[in-house]
Amino acid sequence: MANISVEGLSLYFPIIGADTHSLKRYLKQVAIGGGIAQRNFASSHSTLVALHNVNLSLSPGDRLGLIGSNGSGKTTLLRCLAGAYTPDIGSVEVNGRVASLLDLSLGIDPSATGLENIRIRGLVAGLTPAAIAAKTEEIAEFSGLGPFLAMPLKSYSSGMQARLAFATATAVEAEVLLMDEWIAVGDAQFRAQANERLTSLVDKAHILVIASHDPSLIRSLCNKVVRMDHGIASEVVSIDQMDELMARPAPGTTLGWSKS
Amino acid sequence: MRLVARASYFSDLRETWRDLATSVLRLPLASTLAVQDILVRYRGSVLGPWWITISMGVLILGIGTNYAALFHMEVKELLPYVAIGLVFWGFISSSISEGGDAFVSAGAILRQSALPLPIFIFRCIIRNYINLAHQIVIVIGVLAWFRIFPGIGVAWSLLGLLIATLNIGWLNLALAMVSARFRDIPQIVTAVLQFVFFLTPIFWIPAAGLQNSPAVIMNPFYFSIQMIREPLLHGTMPMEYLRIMGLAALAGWVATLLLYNQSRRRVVHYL
Repeated sequence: MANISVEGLSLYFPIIGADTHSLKRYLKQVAIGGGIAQRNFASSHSTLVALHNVNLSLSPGDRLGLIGSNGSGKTTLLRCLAGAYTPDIGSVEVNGRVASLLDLSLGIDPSATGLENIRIRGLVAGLTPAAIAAKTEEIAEFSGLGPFLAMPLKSYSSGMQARLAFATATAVEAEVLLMDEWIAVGDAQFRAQANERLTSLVDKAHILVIASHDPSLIRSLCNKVVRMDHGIASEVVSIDQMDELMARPAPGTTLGWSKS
Repeated sequence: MRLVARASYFSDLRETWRDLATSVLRLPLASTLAVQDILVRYRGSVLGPWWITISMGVLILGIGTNYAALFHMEVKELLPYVAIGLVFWGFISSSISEGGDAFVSAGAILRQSALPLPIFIFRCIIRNYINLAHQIVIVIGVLAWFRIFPGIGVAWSLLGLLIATLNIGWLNLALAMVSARFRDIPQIVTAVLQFVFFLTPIFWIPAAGLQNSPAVIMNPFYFSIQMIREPLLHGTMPMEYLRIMGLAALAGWVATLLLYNQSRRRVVHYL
């Protein structure tokens, strides 16, 4: 049974400006920096509190919408659920096969063909070559790309790329589907198909977590909603209470930037 | 999947171990990505990776014959030495110089999946093995042409290659992590490798007076090349080099895994 349990999750980002990526700058700090404290390079950059004490518990059938302004931590939370970021405080537990549709360019190589991209994405998602071969036909059919699958991806429109990415990611039989914004680039017909497929995924008692700025999308897909503000998550509420949740004033916070 | 905050330095050791084990289990992914890298790099080219073989072959022929004439040596003596030296130097140096890019170039994948980092080191090494497989025909051709039959030396040479690869592995893992944080590192590595190329007896045979120079007696790159080259040319393994590089692999992996244990959580934030 798929489930997600996030307890007391905090995540900090080291902020490294483009220039502090440079070794010269680092060495200069070490060489001429005033005081011993500068020698500790952990103290030479700022830290961003990306998530602060997030708690979340989802069970099969939950379709959670993440709302919040830009930079409020929605994508970061999704990346934590995908296992890309490990917590600085607290824990993240995700049981079940995860499919993440966070970045359509994952594993996508513009000069590789559609079929090659299906194979790469499938392998990255953890399928065996045999399983991918078995699924390729289904993916090809759902994407509706037909003969284009044998052509390099750079000949695709962005809508076609999105079709391929969506078809591949959802073919993994994910128990937990993570999405960052709805793939709005598909045309109306594809969107209807995708909606149907997504609904069937969620109906199989699986879990969906989607971040979006579109309240009507959240309403149509989700049954629960969480609002993020400066890395702080509200409590999980039922979709009926979304208006009330959105109307709340942002929690006053001193979080954000800190010098560690 | 359960990810928790780090309780102590040592609490992460289990996860470091799991990362390594998972990476080995996911070798099919690493090799698919490596094959894809080659396919993409040479897409539209008729000869593909054989172009490196051709340019390498021309270089070897040029150096082997011209330097033989310049230094009054027999071509038979110099050309096989140069051929093996340059082919394996090409493998070692391009493996190392591409190592720094291993995580940076995989940023899109690493930022949204739980794949362990060492997979991308394996990808880099497998890719270079594929290139090496294309160039090894030069070595086979040259050895056959000069009627050199190494016999059991082939096995020794493969052992030398294995030890060299183990060393490249830890070096790449360390370089990939440090390069993610400090973007100058790959450039520095490229410059250093260029210097090492001329310093190391790869395409020249050290004269009697140079036998005790640091370039010969303290040069891990020379040791690596000799572990692979000597068995093929003379059927014998320079055991001292093998021992030194074996110990270097052990010490290097221990040190690198300690660094990895320290930095594995941070790397994805640097990408």
